Formats: sequence, C-alpha cells, structure tokens
Amino acid sequence: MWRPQHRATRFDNSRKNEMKFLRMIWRELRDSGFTLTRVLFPVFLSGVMGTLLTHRTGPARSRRGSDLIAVVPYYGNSSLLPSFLAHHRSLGVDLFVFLDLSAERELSAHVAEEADCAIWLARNTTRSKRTLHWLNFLRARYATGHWCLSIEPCDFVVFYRSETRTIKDLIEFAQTEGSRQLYAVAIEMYGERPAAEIRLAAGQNPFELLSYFDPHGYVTATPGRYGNVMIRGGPQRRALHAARSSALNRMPLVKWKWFFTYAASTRLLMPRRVNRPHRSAHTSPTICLLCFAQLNDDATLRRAAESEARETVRDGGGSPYRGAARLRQLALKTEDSVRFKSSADLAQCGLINPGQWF
Amino acid sequence: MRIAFALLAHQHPRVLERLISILVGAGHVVSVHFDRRASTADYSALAKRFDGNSSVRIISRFPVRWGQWSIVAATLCCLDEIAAAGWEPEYVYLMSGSDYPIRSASELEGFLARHQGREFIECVPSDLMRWVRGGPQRERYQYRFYFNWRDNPRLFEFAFALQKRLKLKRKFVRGFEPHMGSQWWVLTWNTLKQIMALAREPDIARFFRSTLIPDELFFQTLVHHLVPGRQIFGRPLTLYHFTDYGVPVVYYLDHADFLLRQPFFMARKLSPYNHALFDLLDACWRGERGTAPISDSAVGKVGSEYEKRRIAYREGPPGLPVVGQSPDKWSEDLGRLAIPYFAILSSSTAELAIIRRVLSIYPNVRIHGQIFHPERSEFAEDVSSFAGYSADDSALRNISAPNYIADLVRAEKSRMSGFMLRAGQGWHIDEVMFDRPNVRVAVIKSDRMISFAESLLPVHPHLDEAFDSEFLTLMPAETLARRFKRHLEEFQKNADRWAKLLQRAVDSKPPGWAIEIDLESFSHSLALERWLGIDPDWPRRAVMWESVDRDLARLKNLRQLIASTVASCPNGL
Repeated sequence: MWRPQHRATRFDNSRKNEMKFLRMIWRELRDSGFTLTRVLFPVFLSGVMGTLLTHRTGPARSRRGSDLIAVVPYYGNSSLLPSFLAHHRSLGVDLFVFLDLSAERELSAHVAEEADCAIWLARNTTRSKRTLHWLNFLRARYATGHWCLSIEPCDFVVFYRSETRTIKDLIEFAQTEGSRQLYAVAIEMYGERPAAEIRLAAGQNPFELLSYFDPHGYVTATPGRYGNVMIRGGPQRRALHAARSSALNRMPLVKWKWFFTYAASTRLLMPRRVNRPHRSAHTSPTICLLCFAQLNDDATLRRAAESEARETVRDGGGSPYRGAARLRQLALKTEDSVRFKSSADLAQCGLINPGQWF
Repeated sequence: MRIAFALLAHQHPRVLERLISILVGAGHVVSVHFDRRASTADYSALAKRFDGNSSVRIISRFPVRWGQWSIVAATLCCLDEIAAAGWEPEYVYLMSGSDYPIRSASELEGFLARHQGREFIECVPSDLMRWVRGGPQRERYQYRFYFNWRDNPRLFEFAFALQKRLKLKRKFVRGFEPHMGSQWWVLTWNTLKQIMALAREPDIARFFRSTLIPDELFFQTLVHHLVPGRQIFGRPLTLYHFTDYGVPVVYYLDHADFLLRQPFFMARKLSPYNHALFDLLDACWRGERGTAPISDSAVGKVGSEYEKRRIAYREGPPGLPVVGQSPDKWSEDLGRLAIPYFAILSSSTAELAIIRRVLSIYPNVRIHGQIFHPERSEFAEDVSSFAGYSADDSALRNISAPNYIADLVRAEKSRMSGFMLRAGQGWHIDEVMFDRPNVRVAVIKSDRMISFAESLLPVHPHLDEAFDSEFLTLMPAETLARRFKRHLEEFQKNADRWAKLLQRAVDSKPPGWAIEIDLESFSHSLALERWLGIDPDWPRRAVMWESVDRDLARLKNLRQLIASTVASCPNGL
C-alpha cells in the first residue's frame, strides 16, 4: 500500500510541537524558580527574621473569626497616634499590631493601656534594617485568614462614603465580587503654610492642619513586571519637578494568606496575582490613604526613609518619605488645591473609584 | 391584625435582637430559625435573651445551605413553630435576619388589613416567562440537583451535564404549573396551613428536595395551585436589588433617604455595623418619624434609581478616570474625560494669534496658547504655572501629553477651556482631538508662505511675537529655495492629513463642532462664536475687529513679501 513519505517542509508541524513542548518546560522551570525565589524564600526569610522580634504588650495572637487586623510600623512622633487610632477604630479595625522602630522605643508609653494594640520590638538592634521582613512576619502571625490593613501611622484610610460606612462593609462588598485585595492611592496632604512651620499638638486632628490635596496631576502606568499598576503624581511630582517621583499606589487591604509577602513598601505583593487592582471587564472599588507624613519631624522621616529603602524588589517606586522631608519646607497650596471635607471630594476628583458599590 | 414574622437568620445576633424586639414591641409574634452551621454561641446568647418571652420562638434545627431544600425546610420549621405556639396569626411575613422594616408598623398593618385575604408573593409562570436574570430557569426543576453549586461546583456541573446528555428530563410533580418569584413573601395563615399539609406528602417533598433553589419555586408554585389568581398580589413587600454578581445590595446609613421613599415595608439587606441607621428606622417603625406616604397601587414597584446608577458606573465613574486602571496609551486620561473643550489647529503661529485675539474678548472662555511649545507652555493670561504645571518646565508635561491636557481641562472649573495646537507640536495629540467626541476642533486653512517663514526660525515663534522679515534677506537664495521646496512637501502632507481627519470628525461629532476657518474671508465673521455656541458681544467685537483687521492686513503684506522673495529665487520656483 502506498503511503505518502514524511518529508520535512518549511511548515513542519512536528518540529513546531517540539518547540512548543520545550517552551512549556522552560516556562514551568522559570515559574517554579520564581515561586521559590520570589514567593517562598521571602516567607522563609520573614520567619527567620521574626525570631529577632519580641512581643512587648497586647494580644500575642489574633482571635478567630472575622477580625480586621492593622499592621503598622512606628518610627517615632507620637502626636499623630491618638487620631490615627480613633479614625481607624471608628472604621472597624479590631486589632492594631505595632512594630516599634523608634529610636527611643517609646511606643509602649503611649499605647500600652489600649486593649486592642499589640506592640512588638526588635531584639538587640535599634536600627531598622529588616523592617519589611519583620512586618511580613507579623502579618503572617496575626493576619493569616483575616483581612489585613497595612498602613503607617501617618496614613488615614478614606473610601467611598467612609463617613457612614466601615471597612468591614467595604470588605464584605469586595468579597461578593470575588476580589481579595483592594487597591489604594496615597494622597499627600498639605496646608496653607509649609508643614515645617506647623506643629501638631498631641491628640489634635491632623485634618485641621493639613487639609488640602491635589485633585489632579496623577499618571497611571501600564502594569509592571509583577502586575503592579504604578501611579505617580501629586505634590511630589509637581513641586519637586520629578519625572520619576515616588509611587503613590498601595495595596493596603488584603485577605492574608500564609505565603503572602510584601516585596516593596506596601505597594508590591508576592505572588503576582495579588497586585491586580481590578478584575477583567469590571472595576472594583478603590480606597485612598490620606498621607500626613509632612507632620513628622525630620528625624522620624529619616528613620522611615532608611527602613523603606531596604526593599527586596526594586520596582522603581522610590521612597515617599525622602520626598516628604523636602516637601515639608515648601508652601504647596495652589489655586487648584482642593480642601478635604469628606470622601465625596475625593470621589468627585476621580481619586476614589466607587465601582459598583451602591 | 396579628402578624407572625418568620425569620431566617445566621449571624449578627445584636442586630437580630433589635429586630425581634421592635417586631414584638409592635404586638406581633416572631419565630426564628437560626442556621445550624452558624455560631452556637450566637444562638445560645439569642435564645437566652428571649427566654421566657411568649411572643418569640427561636430554634436551630437545620444547617442551611444556599440553593438547597434546607432553606425551605427551615422556613417550614418556623411555620411549624407558629402552629405549635397556637398564635393563629392572620398573616405570616417571611424575612431574613438582615432585613429591617423601613415603614411604620401601623402602615404595614393598615395595608394588610385593606387587602385582607390576598397573598403577597411574586408568582411568575416560569414555563412562559423569563424571570431568572442569568443561568438556568426551567432546568431548575426539569433536572435533579443533588450537589451544591457553591460547595461542589465541579460535581454539580458534571451531574447537570450528564442528565442533559442522557435526556433525563422529568415532569413537574402532580402536573402543577411551575411558578417562580422572590424568596420573600407575606402569606395568609390559612394558605400556609394547606401548604404545610402538602409539604408533608412524600411525592411533593421528594420532588422539591432535588430542585435547584427551591426557595424561589416551592411556595410560589403551591400558592398558585391553591389560590385563585386574582387573590395574588404579585409583587413582594420587601425591597431588594441585586448586583451584577447576583448578590443582594446592602444599604447603609447614607441610604436612609433612599430607603424611606421606597414603596416597600421592609428592606433587604442592611449593613449590621452602623447602628445609627437602625435607630432611625426604629423611630420610623414606631411612627415617631414620618415617611413619604405611598398609595396602595405603588406598593412593591421598584424604582430605577439603583439600576441607572449600576449601568452608569459599569465602566467606572462617569467622566472620570478609573483609579488603578491603566488607560490605553493613545488617549490615556482623555479617554474618560467628558468635559467639553476645544482645540484650534494651524500650521502657523501668526494665524493662531489672530484667533486668540478674536476669542479673548469673551470672559467665559479660557483659551490657552500653544501649550506644547517646545520652549515654554503658553497658558491663558500668561500665568507662570497652571494646574500644577510650570510654564517653563516642559519635562513634567512631556511625561504624558494626554494627561497634561486632561489636567488643564479639569483644572478649569467654570469656563469653557481650549488650547492651540501648531503643526509639529504635541506628538499625536492632533489626531486624538479629532477622535474624541467631546472636543470642538477648528482647523485653520493655513497659508503656506507664512508657515514657511516661521519654519525658517530656529524654534517655533510664540504667540504675538513679531516676525522679523530681515531674516529672509540674510539667507542665501539657493538655501531658501531648497528649504521652501522641502517645506512645501511637509506642509501639503500635514494639510492632507488634517483634511482627512476633519472630514471624519465632521461626520462623527455633533453638527458644527468640527469646522475649517479660512482667514481670507474671516473678517467680521461669526464662525468662532457659532462654533463654540456663545453669544456675540457686539460692542467689544467692534473694537476688537478694528485691530484684528489691521493684523490681517499685516499678515497679507508679509505673505506678499515672502512670496516675492521666494519667486525671486534662482531655480524658478
């Protein structure tokens, strides 16, 4: 019986399939390498680094159930703390886990009496070298299985109609849409005068002193290597005239799993898929972090910038604290600045996306 | 009028406590089924709280699973309790633990008294009409469902597909007409007693046990079977909306006004975290706070408010960029900018200056100059910085040209703003301007001589910068001729491109939004006013046109001068 002889042609499918197969193997290897080095190794590292921490006061573990855990590094400057705690308690945060990185280790003097605050200290060191790993350790310890809010004491969370709703409402809505993380923009707040000339009295509401923000002038980049969407802009870009000013995007609210780690500040997470702000063909709600970093003194800012610089992934986002130290000296208010009165101001400027949240 | 409330609950005992208290406080009775899967501590706390209260019965018998018979079983369990307690109410109101009344008790009682004997249940004949928004409808009872869709999605899909493949369709039990509707109803006790009797019959129980989402089928079908159609009030008395994901919308304190004007008696579901809303609604329930009166004919009719908002926000907030969504590289933020603005395009700066003079008399128009000038951005009124962009610093604006324009337009709150675009500036922005539906575009039919003269300068001139004609005499004649030839090619290419784009814009934009201006016949014309839709300011126009006419004449002289210089070049151009 005659059969056509197999001849190698230009469009040889067998060769093509071979290449496909090889490429598939290469991809598998590459991805497993990625998982090992970028996802699992940082988890291991944070576990090891965590042994350098000691628990000072407050609950040593979180309760079971649906508590909302905030993990917060503390670099100094206690004047913002009372309003920070009050603001986030009213939004439904159940437990604050502080990592005391201040030079004097003075945090326990300020919040020791609060039942919902846990304080951790770094043993044998006063330098904040491994902040990122330490915070990841605390998140894994307290927040695994919970929603975790990763912010700093100068960040105030604001979202769509946050005056009458709580973060738990937002989380429940996000869960009905199937999203497990919520994207945020850090909005730098400034006053009429340079922040260096203003002093925040203990317990004073920072919104009274720095009440203006930039309504526009933000640029969104295309998703980066890790699926992270970077936003730059605000006063740092405008006043320091920096084409590559520090990144303003954050991923502060995440339903935490044991293998999650932040790889740069709180804007880049591993594994990659947690960095996605929206699901395809659908926009999720986003939140704002109103940032009062300029109310810190220079020593605190320097400390914060120093610890921030030690990121495991250099995503090009820079350090917002270094810029904040320079911005403190400038009068930033312009004709376009908007006075913050409620979350509606942010929504009108397009800095909060309500999504389908009615 | 005595109403028994059948409550299906599984969480938030504090809210439940409030709800039960106000219902009992109005003289009604409550029978609660607390999900067996939920926290036992919550259940025992709740049971303890109402221990000894003869108007409340709390049980926890079934682990309730979404979309399965257990929901109906729990409901029947509540009804059994009502029967066992011997309350003998006129009506039974089925509600969930996250519902809350939004009108006064007396209004509800009055409404039910006026419609005594009617059944308030949504009954849609599902063989004839589509009721389910997405997913299977008739298949829900045509096939058998033994696996939970949420717990075992794969097994569920497999079993469903297998039955469809093997054509294992079944007939509806006892030949009843299948009817569907919302799970939440208000039924008379007499009807419910008959339903409870039917539910005990093995063939009916067996049939509904294996349907999908029987809570939207069981009561509806049986009510239609037992009660003549005219007695059924086909709309639910509980307000609910569904999101795109098929989950009920949650209402918050900021929805208080919205809720109080809805023609319903209960709302599903309310946020359990802010109790201020419950305080407010308690006052309404007791009749201490008035609500908008409703007519009986309006009861149960859903407004379009939520639906409108859902559709408007589907792609993000209307007219605003979506945070965290990378825009396309072509139009970036301009893609979602809905504010109308305008752009004037020309191949020469001198002509743009004339247009600016014409429009500068109108205070409600903010007209920027050449915002993409390579040396200095020309903002309106020659300000040194605008919208956070410094005029002298072009690095910032060069990051993204579309975002730059979007920021300029957004920064202007009250006036209509626009800008000038000279050929060769602003990268691809000219094409974007022709494309965007909210931009008015005017293309000036430029003169090639004048644009040639400007092209000889090292950089583009600024607006209102006088042209130094001596420059022409300094240049050697051959060079001049060569550059004129080259310029002519470029000029023609650009003019052709703009003509093509303009034609497309004329077709796609609203009438009169894309125009071409010929400076030859421009004097005293109303073209620009008509284009922007503004009323001409006659007295100021008269003064302005005197000087503009002088400028036009000067431009004409310049053109002749250049033409004669070029004509005198040796290669016979």
